[in-house]
Amino acid sequence: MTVLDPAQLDPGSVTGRPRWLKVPLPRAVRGRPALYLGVGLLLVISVLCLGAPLFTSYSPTEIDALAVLVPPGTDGHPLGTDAFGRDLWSRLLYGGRYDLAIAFGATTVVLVAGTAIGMASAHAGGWVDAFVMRVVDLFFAFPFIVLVIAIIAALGPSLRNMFIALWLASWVGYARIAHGQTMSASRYGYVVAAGCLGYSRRRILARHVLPSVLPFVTVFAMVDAVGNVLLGASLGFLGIGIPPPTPEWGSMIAEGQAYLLSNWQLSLVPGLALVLLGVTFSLLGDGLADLFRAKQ
Amino acid sequence: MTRSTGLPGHRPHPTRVTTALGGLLTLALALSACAGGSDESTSPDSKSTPGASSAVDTLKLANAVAIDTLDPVEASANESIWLDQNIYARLVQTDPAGKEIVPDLADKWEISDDKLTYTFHLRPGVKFADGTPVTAQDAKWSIERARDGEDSAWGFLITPVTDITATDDQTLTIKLSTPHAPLLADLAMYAYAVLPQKAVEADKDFFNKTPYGAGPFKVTSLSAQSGLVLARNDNYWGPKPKIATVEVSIVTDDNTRLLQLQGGQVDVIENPPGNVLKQIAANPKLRVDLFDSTRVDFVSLPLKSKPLDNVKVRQAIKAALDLGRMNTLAYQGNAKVATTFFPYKMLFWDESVPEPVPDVAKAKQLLAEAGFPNGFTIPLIAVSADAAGQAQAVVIKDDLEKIGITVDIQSFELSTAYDKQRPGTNGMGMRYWTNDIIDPDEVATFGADGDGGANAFNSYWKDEAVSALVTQARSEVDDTKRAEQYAQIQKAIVDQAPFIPLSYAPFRYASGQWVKGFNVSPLGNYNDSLLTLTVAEH
Amino acid sequence: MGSVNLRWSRVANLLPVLFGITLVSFLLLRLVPGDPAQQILGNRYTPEAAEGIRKGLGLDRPLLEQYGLFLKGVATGSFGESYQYRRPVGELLLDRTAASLMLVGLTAFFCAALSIPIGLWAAVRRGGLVDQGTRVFFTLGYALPAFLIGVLFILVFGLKLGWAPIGGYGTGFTSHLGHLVLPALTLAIPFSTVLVRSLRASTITVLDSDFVTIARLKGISEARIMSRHVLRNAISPVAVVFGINLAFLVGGTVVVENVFSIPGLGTLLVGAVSTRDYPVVQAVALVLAVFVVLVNLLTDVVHGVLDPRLTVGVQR
Repeated sequence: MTVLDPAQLDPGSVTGRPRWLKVPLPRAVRGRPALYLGVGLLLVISVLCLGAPLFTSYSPTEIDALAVLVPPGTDGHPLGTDAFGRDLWSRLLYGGRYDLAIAFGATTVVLVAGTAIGMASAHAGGWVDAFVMRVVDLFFAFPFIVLVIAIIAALGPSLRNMFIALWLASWVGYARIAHGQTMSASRYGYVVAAGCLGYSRRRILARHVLPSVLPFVTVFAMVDAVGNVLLGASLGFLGIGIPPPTPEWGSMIAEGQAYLLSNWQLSLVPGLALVLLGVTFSLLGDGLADLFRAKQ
Repeated sequence: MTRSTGLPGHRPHPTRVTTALGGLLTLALALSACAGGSDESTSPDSKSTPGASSAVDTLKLANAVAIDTLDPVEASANESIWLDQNIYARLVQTDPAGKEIVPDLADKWEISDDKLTYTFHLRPGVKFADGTPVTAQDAKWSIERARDGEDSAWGFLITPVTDITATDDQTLTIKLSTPHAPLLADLAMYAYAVLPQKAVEADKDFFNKTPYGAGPFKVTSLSAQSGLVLARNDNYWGPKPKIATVEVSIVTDDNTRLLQLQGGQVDVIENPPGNVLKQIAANPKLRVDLFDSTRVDFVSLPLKSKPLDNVKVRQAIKAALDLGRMNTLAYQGNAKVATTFFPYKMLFWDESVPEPVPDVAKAKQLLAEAGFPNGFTIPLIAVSADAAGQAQAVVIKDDLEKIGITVDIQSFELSTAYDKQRPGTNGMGMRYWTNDIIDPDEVATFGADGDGGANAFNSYWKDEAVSALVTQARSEVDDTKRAEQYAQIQKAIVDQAPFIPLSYAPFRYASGQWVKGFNVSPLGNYNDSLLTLTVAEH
Repeated sequence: MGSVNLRWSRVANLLPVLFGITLVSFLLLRLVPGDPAQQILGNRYTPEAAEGIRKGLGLDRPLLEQYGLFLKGVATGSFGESYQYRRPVGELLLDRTAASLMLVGLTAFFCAALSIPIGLWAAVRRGGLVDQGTRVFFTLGYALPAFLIGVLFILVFGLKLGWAPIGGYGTGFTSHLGHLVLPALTLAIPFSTVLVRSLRASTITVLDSDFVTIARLKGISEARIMSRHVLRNAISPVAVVFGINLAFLVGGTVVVENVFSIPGLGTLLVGAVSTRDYPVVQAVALVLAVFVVLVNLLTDVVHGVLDPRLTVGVQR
């Protein structure tokens, strides 16, 4: 799960009016570099990882018992090797594919599902809404780590099961944000008016409510994406991450933990890669937020 | 500067930030320093005698695993068991080398000629830590509690025992239905420790407070998750330990434990990560200790998972594995390649069995003869938290790839992994074994006897002749004959390969050079060494 | 009057949630493969021994009966006995909860101390070096896993400088606090990331609001504006987030507890899940849930106090 940003929970709480209407224009113009930088970084990372065979000739999973734990720079291994003699740079590149998959795959599904549930529930109102929100509260109150461990214990550690665990643990954040936003939006004049005019529910939701929900859930998703990869690393630390010999930054960090005092680059390098991914998503998030604000 | 808002008269407050940050930092460091400076007494809730925290008479030991319980009948974590050995005493015990049975609470015993009656004589004047005398009644009660207890798993060890009688306060007589060669070894086991009957019966919570027995130390404070403090038992019958206190802390993180040793915060740590052993050895203030253990890593090839029911397939797998390489990658070369399924150098271990050498050509041939020239796919269930096991699984996968077998490694956490391995239909499984007694009966029963309750290490392999041998060896009192029987049993496993032993991994400890005399027996016990250990100023 | 109504309806909403928690924590582990008896017996597992153990633990009775017993226990204040530790779960909880609470409290303190000054400064000096710099610094703190940061801290402050103890928990209150400084800092950094950015965002909003503009025009001093109006209004949404995430923190401290050897609820919980120690998992899940719910309630109240014209939750 990811830490929640209050701006997305109660946007109207402080001044009673949508925040983006209050931001002065110069802000929006200044915000653009963030978006471009974020997109640019993402492209670079994607090209490197998806086009891994172009950048390294080593296999990420081939064991070489003679080249175990060699220091960076030896023998054509720019970052050295791990405990099995596997090239770190190669594992970094191939591993990035899994992390991009987690960052996007795990996040997009919950983004769509959670938002849909939150919006639908808020719009439905009545006891349906009360019930759904209680379920959301339940998920929030229940220690998510137990849920994740139990799911992975039941299904076995694998990339697919990690997705399932992440989906089940993260959807509530989006639901709550979307719910809160929909509730606030329903107070806006134009939404009430649309209702009076007899527009269909779906149209109201899609045309009028969604645009106010979208910025918040998208920005939250950016932070959540990195959080998901981190959760993968924590699970690896606990011993139930993605199984070997699959390269994936989270499990590489966790595996490198045992070598922290002798070959710290094994954990630190994928750790920094993760930070880069985090910065990328953070820039994207800020850029998108500013974009949404400017659009209004 | 007014560029931030463009409004006049707006002055930011940099000083507020700096003072806040500065104040925060100072406060934090002050708090840490208070704790860091006083780390001489970082023991958990230590109520031990004041002044006892001087570095010379206290040993600080950091364990990797929490204590589950100090009730010797119910303990299952090795670390708890090794602690029990310091607190309680048994009728007899194993010697420090882990090879023979020597006296403990009983200083002499007689065995009848028909080997069916054992008479133990308790040491005159032997007492529990609270000063009350140890009686044969206590011994009888303790043994029966261990054997018959609802939660006890240890009854199976002494099934031939028909009668336990305290003929008088100092004498205990045990009668058997058939000769039972491992009896003394069984009684030396931690679960059969002699407990103070009255005290345990009087307090339901005895083992959670400050348990004691007749061992060299007693517990003065206990917190299952953060550790315990042992104090010298002045009523102990044996040599008086040179150290007065042992502070055991639980530090689960491998790196933190090592850092504590490097920082001098603890004296001995268990299980330093294999890859830092060179680093530790290079540090002049520290040393690495590798002790022979009874641990055997193996991979089971359950006959219920086709095509592992074909002995040629199993032999092919065995021929393909490069155990030397596995050793290097899983244990950084600190373990030994396994030969038989008996723990390294234990009683009746057959040293004539050679180390397996990989032969890919032969493996391919065997596989073809078995009818699988193109190999097959099979799952391998591994335990995710076991780093060595994971490494071994990866090498197995790699080795078997060469003969066309595709291994699908499925890692689960411990409970689930064992659950999945149990039916034997889910493919190969990574396991390991450690002995509780120095007699081979236990490992032979679990590993080679298809009727022995564990289905031959979950392989569901059964050979009537071998099972008969196991039962025979159990009651065989002639050592030469016994050796021969166990040699045959070991050979059967080597030939039939229902499971393949991989490595003999030693116990890994690291300690400061200021500690002299720390030693661990193959069963993992260090209680003997604590009697003579010294800790210098450092 | 708005806040009082708030509280009762909120309380009423809690009860089904708590009930749901007991149900989920009871069922979840039992639906997952893994036998507590296997865990207890390890290599010496034989079906007979396992049967005996299961019987002793009451696991052979029908599920409904077991659940009923569990609920009855909760009502009378007993959580049963841990399978692994053979002690009443309540005792285990007491020790661990104290440690977790102290850790979380200290973390909260550091979060506040870190985020408030930095968040305010970043807002006030929008686009300046501090603003951009903190973004990078905090992303670093957020994206680097806790165990990396934790070990780094131990290496630097514990081993090299000797300013802090190397893990452990200490004895006595001040010693506990001292031992918790590094772990609390490790937890506070990623937590502060979001707080800084939210505070920055909400402060910017308030600074740009009509209210503040008018106050400035009126000639009220900057200091007064900051302390009286900006701080109060900016903090209230942050307080909400603080509360929600604080609750996560207690369950999410496993990694830090592991690295620093703090005997807290996180490691107890995760350990219990692995060993299928049902009573402990059920008890800890319930305690954590109650904690989350209480903290949420508290922040609602604080939120209401800080900004009385505010109501959380829409009235329809």
